[in-house]
Amino acid sequence: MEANAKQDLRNFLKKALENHRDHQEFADDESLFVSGRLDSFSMMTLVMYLEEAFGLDFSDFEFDVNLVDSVNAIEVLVDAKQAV
Amino acid sequence: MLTNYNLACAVNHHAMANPDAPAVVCQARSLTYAELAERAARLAACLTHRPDWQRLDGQALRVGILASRGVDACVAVLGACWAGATYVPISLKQPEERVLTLLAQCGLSAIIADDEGAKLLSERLLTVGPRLVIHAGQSLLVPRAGAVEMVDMATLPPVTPEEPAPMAASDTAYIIFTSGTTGVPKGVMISAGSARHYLTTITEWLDLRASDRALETCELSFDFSVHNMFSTWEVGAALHILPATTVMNAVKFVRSSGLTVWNSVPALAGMLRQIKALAPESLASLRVTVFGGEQLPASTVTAWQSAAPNSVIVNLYGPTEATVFCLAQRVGKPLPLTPGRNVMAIGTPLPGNEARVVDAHGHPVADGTAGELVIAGDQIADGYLGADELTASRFPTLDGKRWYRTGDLAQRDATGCFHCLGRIDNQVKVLGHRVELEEIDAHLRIVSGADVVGSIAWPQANGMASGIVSFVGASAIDADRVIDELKNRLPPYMLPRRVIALERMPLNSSGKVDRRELHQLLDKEAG
Repeated sequence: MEANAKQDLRNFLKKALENHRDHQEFADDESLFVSGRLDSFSMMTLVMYLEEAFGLDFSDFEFDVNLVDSVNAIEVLVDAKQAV
Repeated sequence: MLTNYNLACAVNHHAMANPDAPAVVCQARSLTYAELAERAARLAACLTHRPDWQRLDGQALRVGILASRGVDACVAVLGACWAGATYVPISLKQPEERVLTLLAQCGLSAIIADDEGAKLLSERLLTVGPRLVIHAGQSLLVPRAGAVEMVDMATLPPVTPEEPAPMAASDTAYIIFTSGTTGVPKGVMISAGSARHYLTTITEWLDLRASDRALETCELSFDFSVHNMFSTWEVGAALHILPATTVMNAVKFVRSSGLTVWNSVPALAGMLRQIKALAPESLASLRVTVFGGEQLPASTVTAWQSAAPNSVIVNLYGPTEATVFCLAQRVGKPLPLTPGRNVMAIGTPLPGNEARVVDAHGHPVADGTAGELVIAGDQIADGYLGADELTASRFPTLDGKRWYRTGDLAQRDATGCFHCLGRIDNQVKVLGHRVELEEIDAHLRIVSGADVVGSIAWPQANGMASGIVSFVGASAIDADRVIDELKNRLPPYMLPRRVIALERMPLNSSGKVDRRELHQLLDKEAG
């Protein structure tokens, strides 16, 4: 994932956390959904964001929360898509 | 012999008839019927063997349940029932002030907490709460408060199993708090007789079976959970709990656990559709789908029919005050649409229930005319805890019968089928015109493609609004295009002036859009 794309993603997640009144920092390997910091509605908007920003098509695979649970997980997903 | 209306009786029965059948499964933990009954009986013994465990004024004692959905929550609820108590779920997701208000209203004899709940037990809460707290998890986390006795659930001694304590039909089975328009939560008291009637009726109506594996997606403080837990246990089936943090894994969860019964609010299905999790036949194992708690949009149904082709779909309607669900509609093809709304009809009353549409004076209106939906019959609540005046106004006697005024706007069509048109209190006047916000939402869903939307009348002054502002659950939206398309669907006074994309739509504890918070959002923006 390119550096500025990753920064955009981090900004998106930061805003989502702030919407949950969560102003704590988050590391790239930190769980955001399974940990309970973000809710299912944020997950839906994240998926829509990833589709738009990276051209991901979530109908290509079986959805699992762990696939988008951290910045690192999302990076794996995006890099796999861009390798195709 | 007198009938024992205790909700735990079904579990006790299956524990003897079919002890090794799975009763509840959550992540790595599961309990058979025998294990669930044993744990619940053990918990009950800890309560009933206390010297001060005496019914007061003939009323069942009340036990608060401070737990998020999971195996411990099930044991806690059943343990309270087993002891013959009224169980009172306390939501973990509310400010401490609200919990304190609730505790003050209830007069609890004990609190049972899972490890999440135990973390919330502050000194302050323990000071005003009951003198007995039974908790799971690390006791180190629990502060010691002078007079409160803390018991670790894991240390409860085994007991010689006793039958669930006898409960009469008139005893209160549970009290569930719903938001009050005045800001003070209302405790809805449901009798054991009403609960029993509902469970007998719904399990037969849905044809639930012992071989079923049913989904739980609700917290205890939402009365949909009463349906999920007790309808499953009524027939000796297995309850599979999906924790809130992985709820978007629902489709994978259904497949890997081979679930046969789906229970959720339509919003969850709508979100799954939007993340493209509803692939054709991805839910092929389902044979029964229960949607309830809010309006069921056609877009959700269409996606569901393709994902779960072997499942019947039912749309259940009911306020907490009429025991979970009291009207039901089977959703087949063609879709039972509410005219002009693109949502499913709410159908006809379940056996033992009666529904009517009335005008402001309580007189029935003609078919096709909109009015307030009122419900009567075997499932009507005893009223609101400690609020006689409110109870009297919401549960009037009409034609010699006690009814509950739902506050929902509805109409009955010529075939006798009921259609819900939204909340009466969401009926707003915009520059003198009568506007149903749900109607705007219905069109907004179609035009925006988003399932989670909410409109409000804003700004407001002196009870009058000058326009509409709509919110769409999405990361971005082309507001000009949406408004342009809405121009073709809505009269000018119903047209939103603004359409705002919200990455996080505020939802209330039942998962419905919280319009009050949307108002606050705009108020704040306006400074």
